[in-house]
Amino acid sequence: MSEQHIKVLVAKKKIDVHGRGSKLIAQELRDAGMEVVYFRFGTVDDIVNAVVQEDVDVLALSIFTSGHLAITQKLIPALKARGVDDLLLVMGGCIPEVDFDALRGLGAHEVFLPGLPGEVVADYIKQNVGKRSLAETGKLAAAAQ
Amino acid sequence: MKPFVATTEHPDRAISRLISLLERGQQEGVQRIKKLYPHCGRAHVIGITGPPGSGKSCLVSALIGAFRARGKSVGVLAVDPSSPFTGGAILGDRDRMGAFAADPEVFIRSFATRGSSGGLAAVVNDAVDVLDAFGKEVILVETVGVGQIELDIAQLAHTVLLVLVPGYGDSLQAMKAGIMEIGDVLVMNKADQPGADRAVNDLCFQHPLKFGATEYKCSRYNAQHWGVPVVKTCALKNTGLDDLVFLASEHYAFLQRQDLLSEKNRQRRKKQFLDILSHSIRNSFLTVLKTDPDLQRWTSKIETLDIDPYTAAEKVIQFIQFAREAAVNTKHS
Repeated sequence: MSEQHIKVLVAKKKIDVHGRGSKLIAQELRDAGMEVVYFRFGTVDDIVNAVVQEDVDVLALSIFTSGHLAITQKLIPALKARGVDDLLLVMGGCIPEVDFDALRGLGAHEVFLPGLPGEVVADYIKQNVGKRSLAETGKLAAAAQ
Repeated sequence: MKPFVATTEHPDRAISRLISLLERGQQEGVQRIKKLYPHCGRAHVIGITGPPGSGKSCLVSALIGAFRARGKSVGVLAVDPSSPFTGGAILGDRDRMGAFAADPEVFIRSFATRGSSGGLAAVVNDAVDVLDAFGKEVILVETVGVGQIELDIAQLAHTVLLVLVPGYGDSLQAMKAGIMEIGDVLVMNKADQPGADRAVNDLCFQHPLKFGATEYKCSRYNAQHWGVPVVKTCALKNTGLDDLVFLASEHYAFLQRQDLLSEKNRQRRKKQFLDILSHSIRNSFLTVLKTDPDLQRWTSKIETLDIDPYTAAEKVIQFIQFAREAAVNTKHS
């Protein structure tokens, strides 16, 4: 993976109306040298389609109006059904910390609290892109059983 | 590294992976695309260019809708600039095309320019062929109309739409050489803004022209004697799109009628071949240079100006000519 051209999709779920936070993180990732596809609102299908067509390395979901557990539950199987398993999935925004472990259990690789410096997210992506993937979620679930 | 998987159940993923391989310059992508060329040459390639903020992405979105309403499948290649300082980029075109996010007949891909040495023109060239081979009937290539790479990309299109907005400048601005000359159809977008009619008039230097039953204002005649029509649109309100799609297809029909389409395709292939060739020669030379001590000694003479660079280049060309003659002689003997 050539580090200088990490491609990220910043997406929000349908009707999750916010802009400042998602644009801020998009700009911070851009300033860290990444190519950021900015995609406003999408249903699970819309987001999966965008991931497939843009062939991004990272999906960054920005959440403002909750529903993070529901969308992660649907999104990850939908991605895998389209053959996408080599993706780094990060989430951030207004997500209660009590749900972090549940989200990781569902397959999100990392969840970020609001108010962190942008480099924290960028550094995490740079260190983990191409190393962690959605394929490991299945393995984790299998190991737990 | 992501491997290319050719699966029939996910054609979008196959297209997408292939474009990624070509974008990274991987040999696997080259081997794969070689097999696609027999399936190329059916799509109408339309370039959309114009200054930043003129509404190109919104117009492309409206065009996708108009072509989908006519039953055509659509591929979109959208280019946005990379930062010259960090190499990062915001690719915001897809955001405006959200309405078609889940339509299986629409494939949208965003690219960052990655600086002039990034070879983007070659990648977009290949991506056009990939979408063409996978059966997209209309391919829209959107670029910011400033600079050489964008011009190169626009020129691989059959039909170029130049998007302008009211307030771009006066008629003297419209007469200046360069970007204004590449448009086959001039689009006055945001035509609901004040000054649109005046701006259209400033663009028109010829008598109006009839296409079908409708008369359109005409800017000028280009080198192929095609009268460049001017059309008003408002992409957000979806007005003027029927005229625009009609004029784009009229231009395509004109190219076919005048036998210019095959000429355009020939020119594109010739340029593509020369680009690929010079790129490969350069690369293989640089690879040899890394390992060949004789050549290194020789280039160090150039660095200290014991041989001047022009003489050195001439000598290399002479060597290649000798080698070619030798090869021809062995074949004949």
